[in-house]
Amino acid sequence: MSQRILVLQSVEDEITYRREMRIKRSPLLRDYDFKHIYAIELKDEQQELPTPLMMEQVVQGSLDGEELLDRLVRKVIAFDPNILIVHAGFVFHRFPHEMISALKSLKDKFPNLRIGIQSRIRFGRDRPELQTLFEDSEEIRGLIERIF
Amino acid sequence: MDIVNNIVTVLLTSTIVSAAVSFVLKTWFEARLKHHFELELEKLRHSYEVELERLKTQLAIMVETTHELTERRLATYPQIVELVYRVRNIAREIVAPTETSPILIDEFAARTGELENNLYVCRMDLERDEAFLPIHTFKNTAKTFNRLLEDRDHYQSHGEEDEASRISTELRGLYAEIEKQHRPIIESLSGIIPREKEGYQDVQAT
Repeated sequence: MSQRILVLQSVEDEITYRREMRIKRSPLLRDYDFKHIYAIELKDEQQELPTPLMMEQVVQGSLDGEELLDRLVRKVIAFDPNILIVHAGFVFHRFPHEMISALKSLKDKFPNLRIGIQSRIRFGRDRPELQTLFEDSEEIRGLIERIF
Repeated sequence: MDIVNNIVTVLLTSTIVSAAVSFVLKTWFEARLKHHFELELEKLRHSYEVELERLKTQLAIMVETTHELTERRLATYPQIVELVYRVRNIAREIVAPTETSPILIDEFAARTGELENNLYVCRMDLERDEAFLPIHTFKNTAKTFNRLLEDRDHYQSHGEEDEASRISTELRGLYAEIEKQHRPIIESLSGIIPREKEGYQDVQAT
């Protein structure tokens, strides 16, 4: 049985669309079943904007951690993923506290859900709770390497 | 007669006394005023000296910060420019209608990885110079190119030539994007250093 991977990305834009298409068609990832979710759901008018303008609007806005958690919970119940891969993109960079808080609550609700993060930040000894939250295994690293 | 003398004496005495009192008061007030203004002047001089010191310190910090920033840019921006240029050149060789050497593919992956590292190390400076996003987009295109190379390699090693050929077409499309994206990056990063150096000299001259 193939593993189900849920990928949490910043927003649904051209970059993520292209990434999703590549993941879908990659022979190296055909043993996995992927679904995607976005930290921020863009408004219709934002989707029409050029990327720099859209990003500027997003980072100047806010992220509702509760709303994100609610969507994550619904998606996890519906898709039942084995692994959640978090893309530490510009939204994570701008709203780290809100995102980490939502992910912690998600982990509390689904303790068996493995969470990996695509990030160059290595959480040090000063943040032991994040070392527990994000799995840093060879399997997760390999997946991240192939996805992003 | 005595009365007149007395009146004259009284008048003279009171005139002398009032003149003396006036003189003493005038001198006293003058001395007080002088002392007051000297104090005010001293206070002003002190506040100007404090302000001057503050400005000097501020200017020294500004010069040092600008100097450090310029040094950092001089150390890293040329590296980024070189990597962008190399990544684009290797991509061009890969999509050329000749057989691609595996060494070239490894080189492409290594250079893209190096570019990604540099991008994150210099993120703050690049954001300040409004140069982060184009390089980030270029890096993403290069990474997609790299992942597609891996997919093509997989198809080729499994004899799935149609799929490998489809990926080769996608790679040519991505190369066109790399070609389009690389020039503005090189132009903008090359422009930042000389401009900043002029700015730095201006600050030093003041």
